[in-house]
Amino acid sequence: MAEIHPITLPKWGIEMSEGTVATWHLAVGASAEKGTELVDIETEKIVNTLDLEVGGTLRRQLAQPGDVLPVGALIAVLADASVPDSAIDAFVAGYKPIDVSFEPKEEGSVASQSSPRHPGESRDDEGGRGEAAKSSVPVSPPLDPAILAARNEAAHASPLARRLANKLGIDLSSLTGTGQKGRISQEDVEKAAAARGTVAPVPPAPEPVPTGPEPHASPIAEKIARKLGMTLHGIKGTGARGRVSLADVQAAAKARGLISEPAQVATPSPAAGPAARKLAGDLGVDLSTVTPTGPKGHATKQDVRDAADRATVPTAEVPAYDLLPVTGMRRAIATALVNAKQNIPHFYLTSDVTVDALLSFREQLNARASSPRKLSVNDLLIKAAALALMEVPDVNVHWADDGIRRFRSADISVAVAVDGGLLTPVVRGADRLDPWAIGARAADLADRARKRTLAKEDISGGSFTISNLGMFGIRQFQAIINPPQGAILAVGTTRREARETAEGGVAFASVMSLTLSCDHRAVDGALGAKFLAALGRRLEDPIGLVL
Amino acid sequence: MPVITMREALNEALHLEMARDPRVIVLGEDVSGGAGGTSGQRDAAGGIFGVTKGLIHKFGEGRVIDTPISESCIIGAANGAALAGLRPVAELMFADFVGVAMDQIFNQAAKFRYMFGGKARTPLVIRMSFGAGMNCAAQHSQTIYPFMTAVPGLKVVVPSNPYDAKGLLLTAIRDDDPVVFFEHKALYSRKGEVPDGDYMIPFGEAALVREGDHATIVALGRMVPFAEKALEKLNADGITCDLIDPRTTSPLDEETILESVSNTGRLVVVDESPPRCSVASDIAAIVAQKGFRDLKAPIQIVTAPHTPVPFARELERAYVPGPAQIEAAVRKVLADG
Repeated sequence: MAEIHPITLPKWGIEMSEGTVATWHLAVGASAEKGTELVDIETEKIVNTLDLEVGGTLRRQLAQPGDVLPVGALIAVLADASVPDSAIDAFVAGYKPIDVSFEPKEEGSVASQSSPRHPGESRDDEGGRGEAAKSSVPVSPPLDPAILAARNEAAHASPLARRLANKLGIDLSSLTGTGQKGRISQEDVEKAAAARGTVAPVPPAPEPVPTGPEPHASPIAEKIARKLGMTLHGIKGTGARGRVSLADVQAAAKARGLISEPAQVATPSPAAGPAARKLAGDLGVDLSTVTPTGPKGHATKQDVRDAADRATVPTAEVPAYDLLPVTGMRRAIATALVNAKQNIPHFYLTSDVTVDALLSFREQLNARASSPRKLSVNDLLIKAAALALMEVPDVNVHWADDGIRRFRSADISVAVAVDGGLLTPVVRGADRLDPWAIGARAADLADRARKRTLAKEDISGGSFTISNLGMFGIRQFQAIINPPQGAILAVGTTRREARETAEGGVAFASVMSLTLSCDHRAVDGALGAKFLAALGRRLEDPIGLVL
Repeated sequence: MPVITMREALNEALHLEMARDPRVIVLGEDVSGGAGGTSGQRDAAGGIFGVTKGLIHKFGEGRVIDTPISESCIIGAANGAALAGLRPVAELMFADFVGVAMDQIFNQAAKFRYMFGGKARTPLVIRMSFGAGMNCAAQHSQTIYPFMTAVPGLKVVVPSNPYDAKGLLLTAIRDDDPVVFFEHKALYSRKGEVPDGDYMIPFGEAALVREGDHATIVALGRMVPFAEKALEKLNADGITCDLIDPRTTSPLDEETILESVSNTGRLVVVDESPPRCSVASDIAAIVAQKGFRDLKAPIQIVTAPHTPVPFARELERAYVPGPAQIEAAVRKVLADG
């Protein structure tokens, strides 16, 4: 680095903040040894001579006798004769003075930002400090806003002046400050703008154009702003050292309509500290039932205890029940079933079927099949019912105003419990499908039923319904007919039951109760019984289900 | 951007600032080179960790000063130099030996500005290496930044990567108050992208190293890369965390920590110092005091145990908190609420 050596205004004493350049002892271009007298500097109290700390050629004198400069200002440049002029100019232009003022810094700024300006900085005339430079506003081609902002950041100026200069495209290094300690004030910028013909807007425009760097923000505030897809422009910081805080971003996002009142609407549970939350867990209290009385809407431990007391001893103020609004689906089910149960003359037939053969048959099929989805008992039931309907087609009917419609294919509705109700998607042509195809189709329909993505065609037009509650351990039940169908089959659980064997002993068998609800207008008792018998045969001799 | 080690980044900062500001001097044991003796070879190492390598040739004996093995002498001289207008950067090889210079630091340097009514400043940087994991035994491995953080008037820096180390050291040297700069021995060779030129990282501003939703991890120094490692495992399970590196413990960026906790509701603080009166317990206390209502679960603290640092390798390995403990602590705050 021996190449270029800056010489700055020295600090002779702790209270010295500026000095006057008195007499130069060395001319530009002269070479000298370390220790040679270079220049006299006057302070309020003394005159001292600055000696060279290193040897070299004096390449630039950046201050004239009589100039008053702050401590640390660049006053001369020493370099070998071999160093080109352009390198020295670049060094002078890029030199950042050292802040030795010991003055308190501007809030939020760090050392070099509030440095005193020195005469070599950003001046075109290489001797520095020409009188003409003082008041003129150089007309230069407009700068890129980002470059301008970065350059203005380094200038000794008030934050307001800097903001205005960035907005008006004024290069602060072209101005001379008249503010405190030579700082460029807002007024200086306004004057420069007026001289140039750009009028400073007196009341700042209501919607500041988002240009230049975003304001300083805490990393969390930046993270959340990014998540919300908003910029930080125009947000006033209230955090540490004027930083934009998370609260500022949240307030701005609310004002810009990016978020509505958070949390409370989405989750009805009030906020609560860990202790209250733990107590709620211990007492089995649902936090959403707690009325918060703590600060900032937080639930306290006492609130949780109160809620627990209310739960055990209902008081007058607290309703004894929760009123659940009725959904459209619930209302449709209610209307259809009241209609069905009141207007359809139901009768019920129950028969027990031994299903040991069916269960072992299913096991064998599943053991041999390569398909990842196993056959369920319900899949086999659908197949069996479809075949029985083909055998006894008078059960595969709709009661309609124009007559009894007898269907040529078994389109079987399968009752699926979903959140808030019940849907009956249809497995069409179950008589012609093999049990695996039925299983795949039924699983797909059930899945879409739970996701509520079924189309109207998927749930309409069934000719017969199967409702299976066996998986809930229900032994036997009577289902309500799904109009306009003529019958519905209710399937109970499989139970072990002692039976008398042909040899006269007793053996346990797997038994399933099937109950057929029939619309007596279309299906008579004997017909229903015939169907149940056909179904029973197919279930007890299951080989036919896959042939 | 060049990828360099933290050692090189610190060295770059010293070179830059000594070239820029003639008042900056460096002093300490063997800072000129370390070979010494009669060999005439001055620049063999550049201090015990090689951070001051090359300075002696550029800036000469007047500005790169080898001292006797006396911490009180180093800090005493640095104090005087700072008061007289220089900007000394003093190096103590091991933070553990700061004890003999404590008077000069916490009873003198930290108070000059206050006791002289703002008329005296102490632009002093004290660099020291700290931390376990290098098998340096009990007297060379402690993590003592909590001592310094507790002293009003001192600024305390604990960088975790080369980029921060350079920017923070430049800020430290240009700061007009005493700054204690802690360098973890095991991080000197950690590599990272570092820009060539001059840049400063302000004190009291935390870095958000990783972003996430489920918990906030605050970690310092070597614990930051460990927390990153723990997060890799947690991320595989879909758990994401804000990882905050405060970078300076005094001033501490409380705001960023509290803001993050207000989003995640859970806090894990990781600190290599022993648990009592540690930076971890301090941060936990601040969040318990000012952010309690945002907490969904009790705060977890991961620190070394309350014992001297063991010399036996296996014991030392067990002593230093690692990614496994951090991962377990995050899972615990998630399980707790």
